[in-house]
Amino acid sequence: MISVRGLTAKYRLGRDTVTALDGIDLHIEPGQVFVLLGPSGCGKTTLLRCLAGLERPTSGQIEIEGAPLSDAETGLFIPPEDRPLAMVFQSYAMWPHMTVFDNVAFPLKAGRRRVPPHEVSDRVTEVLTLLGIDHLADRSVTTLSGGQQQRVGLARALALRPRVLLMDEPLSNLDFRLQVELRGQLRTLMHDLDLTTVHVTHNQAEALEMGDRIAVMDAGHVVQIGDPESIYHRPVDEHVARFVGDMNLIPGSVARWSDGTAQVLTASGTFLAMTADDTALSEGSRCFLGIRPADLVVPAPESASPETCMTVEIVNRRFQGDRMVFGLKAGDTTLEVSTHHSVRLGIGSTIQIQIPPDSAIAVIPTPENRAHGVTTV
Amino acid sequence: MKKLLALAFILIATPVLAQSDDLPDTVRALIPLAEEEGELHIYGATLNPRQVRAFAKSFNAHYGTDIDLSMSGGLHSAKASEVAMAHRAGVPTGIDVFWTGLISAMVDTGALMDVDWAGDYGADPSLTMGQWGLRTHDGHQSMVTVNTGRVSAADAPKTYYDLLDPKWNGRIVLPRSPFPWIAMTYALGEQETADLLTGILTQQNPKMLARYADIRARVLSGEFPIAVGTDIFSLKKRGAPVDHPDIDLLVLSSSGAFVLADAEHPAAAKLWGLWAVSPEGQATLEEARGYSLAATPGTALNKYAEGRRVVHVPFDWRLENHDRLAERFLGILEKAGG
Amino acid sequence: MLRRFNPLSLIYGGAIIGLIFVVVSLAGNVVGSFTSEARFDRFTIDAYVRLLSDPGLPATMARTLALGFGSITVTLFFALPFAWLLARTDFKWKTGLFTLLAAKLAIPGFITAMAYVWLFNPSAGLVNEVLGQTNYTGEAAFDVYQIKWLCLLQGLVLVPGAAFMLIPALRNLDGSLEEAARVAGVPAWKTFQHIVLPLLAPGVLAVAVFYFVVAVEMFDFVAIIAPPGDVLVLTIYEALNTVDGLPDYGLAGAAGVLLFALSAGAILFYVRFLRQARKYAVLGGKRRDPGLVRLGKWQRPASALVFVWMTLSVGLPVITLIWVALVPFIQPPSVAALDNVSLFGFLDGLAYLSEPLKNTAIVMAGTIIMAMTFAICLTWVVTRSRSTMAPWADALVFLAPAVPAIVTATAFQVMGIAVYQWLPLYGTLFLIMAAMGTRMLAYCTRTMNAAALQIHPELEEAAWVAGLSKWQTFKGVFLPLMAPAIFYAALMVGMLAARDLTLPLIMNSAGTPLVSVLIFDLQTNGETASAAAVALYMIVVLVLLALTARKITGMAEPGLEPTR
Repeated sequence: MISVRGLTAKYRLGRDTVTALDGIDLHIEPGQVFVLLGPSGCGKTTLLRCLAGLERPTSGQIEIEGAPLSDAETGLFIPPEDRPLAMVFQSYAMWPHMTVFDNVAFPLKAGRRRVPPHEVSDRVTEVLTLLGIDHLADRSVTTLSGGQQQRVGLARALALRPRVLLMDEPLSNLDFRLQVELRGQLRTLMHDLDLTTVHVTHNQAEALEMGDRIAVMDAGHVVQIGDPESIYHRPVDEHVARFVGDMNLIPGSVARWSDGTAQVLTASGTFLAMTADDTALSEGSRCFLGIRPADLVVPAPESASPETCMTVEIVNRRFQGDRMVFGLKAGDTTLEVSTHHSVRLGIGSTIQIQIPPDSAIAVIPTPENRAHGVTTV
Repeated sequence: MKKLLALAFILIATPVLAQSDDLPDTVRALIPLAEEEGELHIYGATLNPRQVRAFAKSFNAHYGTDIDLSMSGGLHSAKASEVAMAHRAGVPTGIDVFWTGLISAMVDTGALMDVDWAGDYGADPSLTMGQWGLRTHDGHQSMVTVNTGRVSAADAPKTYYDLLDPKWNGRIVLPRSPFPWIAMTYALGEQETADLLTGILTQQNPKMLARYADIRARVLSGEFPIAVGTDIFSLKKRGAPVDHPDIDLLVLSSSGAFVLADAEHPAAAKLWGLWAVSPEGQATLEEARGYSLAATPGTALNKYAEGRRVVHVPFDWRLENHDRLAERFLGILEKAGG
Repeated sequence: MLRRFNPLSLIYGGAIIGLIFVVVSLAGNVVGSFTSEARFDRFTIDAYVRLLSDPGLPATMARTLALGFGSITVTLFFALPFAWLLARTDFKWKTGLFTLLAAKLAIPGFITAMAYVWLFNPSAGLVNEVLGQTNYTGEAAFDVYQIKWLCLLQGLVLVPGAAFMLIPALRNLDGSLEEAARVAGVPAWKTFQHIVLPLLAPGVLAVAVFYFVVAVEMFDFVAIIAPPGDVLVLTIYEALNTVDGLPDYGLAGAAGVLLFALSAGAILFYVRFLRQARKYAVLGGKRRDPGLVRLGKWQRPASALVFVWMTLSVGLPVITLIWVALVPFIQPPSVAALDNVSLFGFLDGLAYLSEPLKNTAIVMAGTIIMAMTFAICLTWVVTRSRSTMAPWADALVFLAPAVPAIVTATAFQVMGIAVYQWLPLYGTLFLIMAAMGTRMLAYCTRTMNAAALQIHPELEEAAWVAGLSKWQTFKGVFLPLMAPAIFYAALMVGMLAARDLTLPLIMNSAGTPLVSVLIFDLQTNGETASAAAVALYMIVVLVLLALTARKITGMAEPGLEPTR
């Protein structure tokens, strides 16, 4: 459906050159909700804007359904209005001089994908109804709440019946409850409409919940592409591990590895862990023993084999409603464990915890050559 | 060091040596006062810096002085009423001599200094303008100009009434000003002048422009072969294809030097007026602007006046009739223009 | 109990002094209209009686209106696309276009008019001669002596100022609004038409109203083209000048008050519109710096539009100037005239230039400082204080350009004389700068208010909440965000101050010649070659100055640009 090859985007900022995208390769299947996830400045929005035609890549190609949209080598560049897609903006980008109805109708009347005049009204009403805002049609958009504006933005995009929908942090300006509510609704809607969606977010929970596939980005690179579960459970490196959900990272080195498992040597002992990518490991190289706070077993059951256990001191405790989080210390390393809220452990006491090998993972450090995007010329 | 001193002596002594011997004692008495004053500012003519230097050089050479002369110009009528206002308020204007033909705004207010140019300083009595001014040059406001590339000498108007010839239809450019017609009234009579102006306006479709520089530009370019209301002596000297045709009548209204009542440099101001009517002064004015008194021998205006009926509009007559005639002729002009 | 000095009072102080100057200018006109015989101590309504009883008045008013509307139509036709090209696109010839606009500001108006008269006058115009269609009395192919030509010429002249006024507003527009339209399939042109233009409407209307006022007050072109029939400004000029006796301040003032009435009507319309528009002027949410629109195949048509304007507006007058500078007296180009070509004018002009250039530089700097100070203070008061007087102050400033320059100059002279014993400013360059600053104040506040309204108040509120005082916020947040507007307003003020003739001509004091006055003097003197040469030198100096300023302030590069 969408394919991106070798996409690079560089900008001049005074005397500096900023590399926003550095050789991106992507393939997005039809009907997928594809999420670009990463911290701000990682290039995810630039990539989305390149797809939209709002930015012009320095090199590389973009195709949708086999039709080239942008090819830096041949100089081909289809302007945004001629691309078969629609976009929802983070700021909603409501045209303040138009009503809700006109905001949705304007592209249908004046755009490249205009429809016969008598169909405009039906189309607009259809999407407004679909999104439950048909009663707002005659209101000025400036009088709407954020959530309502967001829906108008979505309606404006959907009314075009695009094959590809681009969404730039569509939920980030909404309050938390509304975000959570809309995530599910949006995902259902995208699948019902069989839309190919590219969704940009910095919110890992939103990404995990909404995405069919997720591309985690960092410093202009795509670091890992996968379904939500593999991203969560098999992060390819420290960056992904830290960014997608909380993970305890205990410094160590690779002792031995084979067939998707490795032995990680740490100050508190040697532990068995899974590997996300065997080829990235080598014996004796630096790596982390990674484990999610909820996957630590506290205290270690009697039956646990001693080489899966670690001795820790309970340092503090944080109550989070449904969960209780304890801060732990093993030598110089601090860890967190998340337990049922009823669990009580004495602060200052020393206990044994278990690191189940099938929940632990050997995480390689973020390559040093990726950590910068700015070069001065 | 000796050489320097000698040089300094020469520099100081030279002007003294150059001083004219034939000046009246009263004028001679002004010289040390003017030296004391050291500066002089003339308002009235727009001259370029080179010309100002030429004025200063001739003026200082005439009296053996070293006075810093500066000049400025602008819109005379507005400046005159401003000077009157400043005088009433006791505010200095920095102007010593108002060099102009238009003083009515200043007359009643006492902004002008009474100077008896003839009695006190031996000037030609015919050059005095009221009890204030000294006539320095005779004016151009009613002169006719032709573009010689477009109009042959034989074809050119011989009288003002020839301007009514149908062959000049659409070919005349005029100032939107009553001034030429005021001067002409003295020569032709009021009703005759009014009829002539009305005739030109109604029969000849003349182009009317607000600024004299524009009128000169249009007759120079040949767009309009005939202009009324401006002289072109200095342009002709530079080879421009314009000339004043051989018209039987020459009407002159004059401009002069008027010393302001609160001039900071009154002695220098008076000296300047007297210099302007001296042969050296007249030569300098002629060289710079083509200005001269019709009576000054050898000037372009003097030569043009030869063998012609020359009518000089008296200063007092102008003061008396100017406003009334201005209103009447402006009315005629507006009717045609509006 | 000493109250600590509040630096904020400096802003209010600046605004009030600016307003006082505006009031001097406005009051000068109104008071003048009730005088007779140039005396400011006897009052009468005689001038109004004379003006209003003139049967030609309705036709004069109609022509004046036509002139105003015609001129702004031409101006907007070029200025809108130009501002957009400069502020929002990757147009190839941006520096070229900016240079042309700056150059146009430096070209004396009379020379443009002169060039058109040579080319298109019915009796001897070069174009008509080539077509064999010259005619003194009947129809020629082209006849420049018509209101429509006057509109064209005035319209062309006002383009740079209008474009510079629009650029800051365009720069501050939320870019995502355009992007949303483009991605929704709306082509660039329609986006401009349906999204950018309506959002820009308050700014465009401000420009239109402002330049309507300027266009009906301009004299340079009316004087030279002189189409049949009066316009109001001609009535004013005649009243003050061509009646070579007493200036008729009464009639000039009364005609000026009529100009006010026309202008006030336009301004009132603008204020009402603004009240409606303000409700959507600033929308919450994260705004995006507008990116540069790629013109692609539209580069060519855009270049063509610039080329048309350049030819009509800069090319012709500059070629004319060069020609005039080369020949001993002003004359249309011809083979015969080539024999007389010499560089005398250029050498002569160079010899005159040094002192006037120094004085002009002082006047430019002083006027910029004065106009900017007052304008920034006024803009802040108008857009940021909640004073109920603020909108009135704004309207008052807007009215100032409706006062004819010649009346403003006289008003300042009268004020200078009146306050001389306390403030001896009469006869100094300072008074010229104050008068110039006052006339240009409206231009500055128009440009700056538009920009200030588009700066989200949250940005300043964030600073207050972070513990900065209002004054620190003004300095640290408001001023930097206003930089583009301040730059373009200062540029415009500097250029106009360098070129302005009327004010120095009336207010010029002994010993301080300015370049504009030198040009006028030389021209009046018939030394047209030197005058044209000085004008050419001035154009070069001012354009270089403008380009340097643009480079230094970084105004040439709006934000991020893609590398190629």
